[in-house]
Amino acid sequence: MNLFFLQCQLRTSRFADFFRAVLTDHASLEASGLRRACQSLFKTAGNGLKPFPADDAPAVTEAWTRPKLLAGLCLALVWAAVFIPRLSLGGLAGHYSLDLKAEDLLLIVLSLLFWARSSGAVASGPVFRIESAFLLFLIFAAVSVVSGLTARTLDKPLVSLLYLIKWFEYFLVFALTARLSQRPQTAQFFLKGFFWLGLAAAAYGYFEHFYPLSSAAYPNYYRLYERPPFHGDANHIGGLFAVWLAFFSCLYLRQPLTPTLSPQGRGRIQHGACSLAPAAFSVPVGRGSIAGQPAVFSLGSTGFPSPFGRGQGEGAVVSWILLAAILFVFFPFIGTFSRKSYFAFAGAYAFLFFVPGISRRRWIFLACLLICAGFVLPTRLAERLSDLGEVMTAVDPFHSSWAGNLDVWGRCFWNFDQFWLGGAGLGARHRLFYESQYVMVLTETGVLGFGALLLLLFVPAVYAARESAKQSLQGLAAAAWLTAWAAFLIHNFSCVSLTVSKAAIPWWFLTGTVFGWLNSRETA
Amino acid sequence: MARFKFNLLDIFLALFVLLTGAVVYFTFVKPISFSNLILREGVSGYAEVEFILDGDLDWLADKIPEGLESKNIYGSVDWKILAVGRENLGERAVRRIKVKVLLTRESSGLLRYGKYTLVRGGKIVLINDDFLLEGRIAEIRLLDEKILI
Repeated sequence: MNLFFLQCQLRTSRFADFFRAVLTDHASLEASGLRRACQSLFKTAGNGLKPFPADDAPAVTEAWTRPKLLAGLCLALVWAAVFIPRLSLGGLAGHYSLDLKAEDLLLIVLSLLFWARSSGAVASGPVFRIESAFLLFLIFAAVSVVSGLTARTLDKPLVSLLYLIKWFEYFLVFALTARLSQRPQTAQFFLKGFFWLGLAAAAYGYFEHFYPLSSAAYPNYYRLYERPPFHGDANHIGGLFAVWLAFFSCLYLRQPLTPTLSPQGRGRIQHGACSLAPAAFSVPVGRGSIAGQPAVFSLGSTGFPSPFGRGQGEGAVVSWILLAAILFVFFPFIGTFSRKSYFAFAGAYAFLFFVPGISRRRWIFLACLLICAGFVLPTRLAERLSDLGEVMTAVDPFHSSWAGNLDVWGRCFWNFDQFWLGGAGLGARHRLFYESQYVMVLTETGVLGFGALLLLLFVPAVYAARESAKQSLQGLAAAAWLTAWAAFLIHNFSCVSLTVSKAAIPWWFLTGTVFGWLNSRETA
Repeated sequence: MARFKFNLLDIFLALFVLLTGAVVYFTFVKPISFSNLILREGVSGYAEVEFILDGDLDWLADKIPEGLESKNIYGSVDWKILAVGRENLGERAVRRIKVKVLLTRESSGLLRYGKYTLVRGGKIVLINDDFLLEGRIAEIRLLDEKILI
């Protein structure tokens, strides 16, 4: 029995058919009743917003992404999620505090604009299978709330509803970003925005390091990103940095794309590679490139030299700039003192070694550089990691965070056999209780929800793994996303990263950007 | 297998609308009570705790300003000194400190401040960047002040 035979079996099996039928590859937003409701609402209001022409699906996505305002709004949403603090609106029913977040408002505006102007033509493509997996998870999460009410394990159902709305927000971030990113220029604009987001967060970290908002008596650690405008977010911003570092490390380490392309092909790839660049880092490109295009993130691709002395050109400069950016983010990343984030990045970096097309020499160079920077310079990284053995072997949950996690996870599974299928209900406990996204989803939404979450995590990973082998910019983005995915997957083991908006919104934004671009029929 | 003609988003939205109605009913009418079938996080609240400062820290008592407080990273008061007094226990003079602390009431009924279980005779340690106060608990009184979740 060979691999080909197995693949054929899988393609023709009823099991695979069932998944393909449930996880449909058709866009759901355009076919939804919400779109019609939204459009009739705008018509009633006399707004006069005209829908985009409905000739065919790509035209729709292209048409509606044309306004730069929408792309800017989407990017602003992600920046707002990371930087703008929540505003307290007071309490409700004596128990609940109501907070307003800027990203919520921006998302409402963005969604209304989308539904009001969408023509309703339904596009299809692999990215929409991810969307379907997301919706399947949301449906099981809603079912879990019913399960929780039935088992009387929920006594604050309003909290559950708010959690569900939050997850729906993440779905919308992914779905809208994926639609916008089907236009390569927008996808690259988003990637630049994500690049600058990491740098801006790191810049704030330096500011807080030099102008601390309070003091921390030694041997306590002063953890960055805990105080306003953040809200105890050291672990969450640490997770964001782990994803950022993994993504851009992959871009830095990826080998030249293909040196044997035709002149026309070279030009095309070069153009795309250039357009991944943050404009401020752009440098003019020499002979052989498309005139006027900046060359950043080319990383030795398309014949540009690498920073290891294979030549001296703009590509080398760009590589050095990218390396400097990774180092710039690395120190605030250490300043979070988030061990789970360290492990997430270390795991992703190890994973990166096996990603096709990676320069192993650069991999070793960057690893040595980061280890030296972390352990030789006075960062307290060694101190933070040196008590790990004690933490892992201690049994006192008040002394060791690991023992505390085991204690809490044991308590989460108490009586789990009574509601294993539908779970105790989304929001049955406070999210900070869990310290693990997987334990949280399994115990709150049961086996059904957990299965849907695994689909949501692995459907895009399989798709990205397939695409990452391709010698194109989309292949490069897929490989980088896969590395970031490895970091995020590890981070979720001991953090509720998919629940907390400061980590989840940038994550779904990045995922939507990469998969929207992969779904695009246009070549960059 | 033929493709099903359904939209998962519409299914979710229909469920969501039904759920919203149910949630409003269960939140404001409260027809059910918690079954205690799961173990959950403790409920946060405030308590007034009086403790006797350890004898080797007597010299520190006069230097503790009333109203001294420590806030957590979320900006909430973690502990606040309400009063510092003197008391005679037989022939021994002790320093009694009244403090407001943010505690957690566990589902078992136990009160905790960090890792310390709040019972009379129990140990309590309060730290900020200027002081470390250690003592034995004499009295505990729960306050009505609510903390929103």
